[in-house]
Amino acid sequence: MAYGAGPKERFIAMNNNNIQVKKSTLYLVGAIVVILIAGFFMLKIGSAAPNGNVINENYNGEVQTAKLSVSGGSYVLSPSNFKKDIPIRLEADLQNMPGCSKSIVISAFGVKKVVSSSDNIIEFIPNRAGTFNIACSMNMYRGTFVVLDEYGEESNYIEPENTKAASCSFGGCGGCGG
Amino acid sequence: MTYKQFAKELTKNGVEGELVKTVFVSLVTSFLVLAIIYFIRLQYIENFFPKYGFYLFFAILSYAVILPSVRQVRAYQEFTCMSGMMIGMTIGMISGFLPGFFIGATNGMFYGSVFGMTIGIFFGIMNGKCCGIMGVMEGMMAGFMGGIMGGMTAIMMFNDNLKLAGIIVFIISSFILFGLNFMIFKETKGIERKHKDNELFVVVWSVILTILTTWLMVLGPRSVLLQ
Repeated sequence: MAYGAGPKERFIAMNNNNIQVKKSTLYLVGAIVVILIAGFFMLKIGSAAPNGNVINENYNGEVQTAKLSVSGGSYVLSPSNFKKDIPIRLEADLQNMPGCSKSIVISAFGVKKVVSSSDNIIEFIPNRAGTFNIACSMNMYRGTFVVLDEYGEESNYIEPENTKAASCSFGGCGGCGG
Repeated sequence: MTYKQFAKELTKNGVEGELVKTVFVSLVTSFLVLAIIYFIRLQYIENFFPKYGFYLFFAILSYAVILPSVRQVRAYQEFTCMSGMMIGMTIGMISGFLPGFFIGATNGMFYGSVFGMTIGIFFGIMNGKCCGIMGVMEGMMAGFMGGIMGGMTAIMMFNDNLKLAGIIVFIISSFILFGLNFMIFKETKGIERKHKDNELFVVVWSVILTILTTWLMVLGPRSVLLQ
């Protein structure tokens, strides 16, 4: 406001200043409200994929058990053939699973899990027949297993494999850091 | 030039006064666009919100904190070499890292990195040019590194608190960009504004970035690991 301004000009300037403060506060409050409303709809709790433990304690049916380990940079399942629709329980052999191989992804059945000494079990239900991939979360360790159809025969379906990732078979995953 | 002066300036009508308004306009535009796309197409996608909601939400928030800095830099146009390099590096890095991280979490490292690099290098160059070729180079390199790092970090944390990491990364990036806003305010003491973008600039960029991110995240290609 210019020096020597009259009472009327001073009043307008004060009023304008008040409006400006309110405007910026309104934008700030508005932004917070928009974030809260959008967050309420978008951040719905719930996972799209099972976490790798699907067999509850009261289950008395058949379970297919297999050992999971790493050999020569690849996952090895023994046995590696399973029946369709019967739950699979994989027991991870942590002694033979270095580095990121403990972070396991079986995308065909929505399994994402890190195995540790306190929980080395992965459970899922193979509801499709075919040859499926198992990989570490960085797609460096890879392997396959077969789910037989209801007649005990191999399906023609083979899940495509991403072969472009680097391998950890020689020298581990030490080069992954930025 | 203290922080108090900067905070006071945020409530006025100048360049800094537009920062909060830009955040608001960007948020409203992006969520409006997303709501329209959702009712047209995305509502028919199974598990849309549990699968993509979190990452889309934070990607939109990321654009809402990146665009005010872009607008602030464009308002002054010219900076000294040191400031310009800092601007190019900060905006390039953050605008590469955040989109790269959120796309990497849903589409895999390759697509996350490529998207992050594209956005990061573009904004890095766009803002780094305020000091000439040095800023452009710095912006380009920061965008390149940020994009790759974003995609890679998401995949490395895939099974290890990925969502929590996303929140932390976003909060840190927001503080860094706020710091940049303050730095630009200090560096432009006594300098007149040279360019004024209207709200259309923010609206257009918010629409482009939201549509690109949503399309890539939901309908775009992804690595076999995440199919």
